Amino acid sequence: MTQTPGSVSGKNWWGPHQLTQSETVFKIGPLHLRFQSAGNELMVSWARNQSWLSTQEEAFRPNEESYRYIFPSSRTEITLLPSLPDRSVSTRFATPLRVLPYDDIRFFVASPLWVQLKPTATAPPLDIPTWRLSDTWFGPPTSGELGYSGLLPAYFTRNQLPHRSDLAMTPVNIKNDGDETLVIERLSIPSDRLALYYSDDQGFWTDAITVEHSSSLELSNVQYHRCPPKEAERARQVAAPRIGEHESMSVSRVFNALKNKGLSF
Amino acid sequence: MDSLTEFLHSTLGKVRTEHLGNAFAAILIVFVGLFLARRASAALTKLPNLDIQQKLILKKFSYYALATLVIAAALNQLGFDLKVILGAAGVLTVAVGFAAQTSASNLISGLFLMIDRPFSIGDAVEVDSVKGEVLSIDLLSTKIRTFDNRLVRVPNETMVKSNITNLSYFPLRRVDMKFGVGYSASIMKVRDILLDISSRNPLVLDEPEPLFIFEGFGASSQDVFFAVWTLRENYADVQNSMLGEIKARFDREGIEIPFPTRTLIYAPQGVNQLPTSEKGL
Repeated sequence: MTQTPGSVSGKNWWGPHQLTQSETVFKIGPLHLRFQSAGNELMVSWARNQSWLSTQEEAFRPNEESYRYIFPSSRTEITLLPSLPDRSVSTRFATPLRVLPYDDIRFFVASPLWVQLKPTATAPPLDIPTWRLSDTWFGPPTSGELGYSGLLPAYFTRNQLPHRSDLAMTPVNIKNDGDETLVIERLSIPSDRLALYYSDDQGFWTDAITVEHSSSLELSNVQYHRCPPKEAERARQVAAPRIGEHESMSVSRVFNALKNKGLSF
Repeated sequence: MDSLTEFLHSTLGKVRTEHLGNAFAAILIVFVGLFLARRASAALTKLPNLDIQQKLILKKFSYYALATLVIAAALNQLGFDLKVILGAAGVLTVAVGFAAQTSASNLISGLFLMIDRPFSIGDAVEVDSVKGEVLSIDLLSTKIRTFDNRLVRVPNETMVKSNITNLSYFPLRRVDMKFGVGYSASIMKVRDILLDISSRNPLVLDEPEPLFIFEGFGASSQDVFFAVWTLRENYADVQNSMLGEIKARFDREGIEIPFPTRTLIYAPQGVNQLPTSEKGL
């Protein structure tokens, strides 16, 4: 963690913070989150780096978005909470994955975290994505579901995993119960249905998900493992799922997606 | 004479008592009946799968239908012959129907609009040359607020007969862009630039995929059709941002968006002039 007066970066960005200076900037991955306090007024503004996965320092560019809070009295404490995106996040593989019949595979997909700002304990949180992903659509244009899309990095061995405070790792298990090779070009992580965990040594993780695919069925079983993944067993939950907190299994239409475009849970 | 007077008093007294009783019963029927009709029509609005407009219409129709029955029952109680009244009402209906054909047509068209539901209140629609937001679907007409904030009343008969484009029906819209690039530009480079711009715009959906079509060789340019998908509420933002980004990027990349040009050659006097006979003189 690096800490300079008025600047917070590194893994300790979340939790309660005292705004002791008139201006404090949090650097959370590509997000620059700036707080300017004056008396009972708090201005929150943010901007992002040009590149999501770049680790290079970039200067704070003109504000993209800003919020202005007015309190009855001077307030110096704010709380930042980590959370997962509020919709499913879809990613493409540059080279499609092929899962042979009756094989089980496990890999990891990194998703950008969202920052939830709570200016007071009872205030509704303000969601600020560390990286603004593009919109995408799951299903036919006449009916379907809105999601996010981005080139999320996928990792196939554990020692490849990056240690970043703005990314959450999702372990994905795919069981190909069909007798045909499963070709995956596109993968959708149901981020809004996953819990978020954190451990000091392993960073942010989500619930693991298991997809059982059968070529004879149009729908696939998707199982959410409601516990820290085995890669971060000692992690503690820091955010509940946004929806379906008590779901552990769902059935999703994935077969067409698998045939044509990819895998969508 | 006294006996006649007594007879009349007793008879008229009976008649008055009987009439008063009927009148009281009729008033009771009207009050209780209308009260129950109001409650029943209000209860009907709780039926599922109805929008606000349908609930309003159902409430009005059911109330007026029940109120008509209540009044008929009250008249019957007062001793009126309903057959005569219904007959007169039938004749009156035919007369009014002839006199108000347009209104009747609009009324029935309004009912069809309620049932068919090609649009709902709040939808953006285009009817003939009118484009705007539907404010209300009334019995005789549909009120549309145009995007420049004018109220247009379109008779329901016109709505039924016209082609209605509902701009809000589906959640997604396609933003179509047509333009030409100079003949010196590589069309593959243009395609790559357009796809790159759309992939960087967070409001542009990556699924359904953007569509690029090289339409052909125009008089002054290579003509290109490019379309991207977005949520319907982001349509204007995407069109503005995409066209602005395309122009800026083309300028940076040195890709020209040519405007139609025509070359005029002034020939010296007497050269290539047609003979007088060929000019048709």
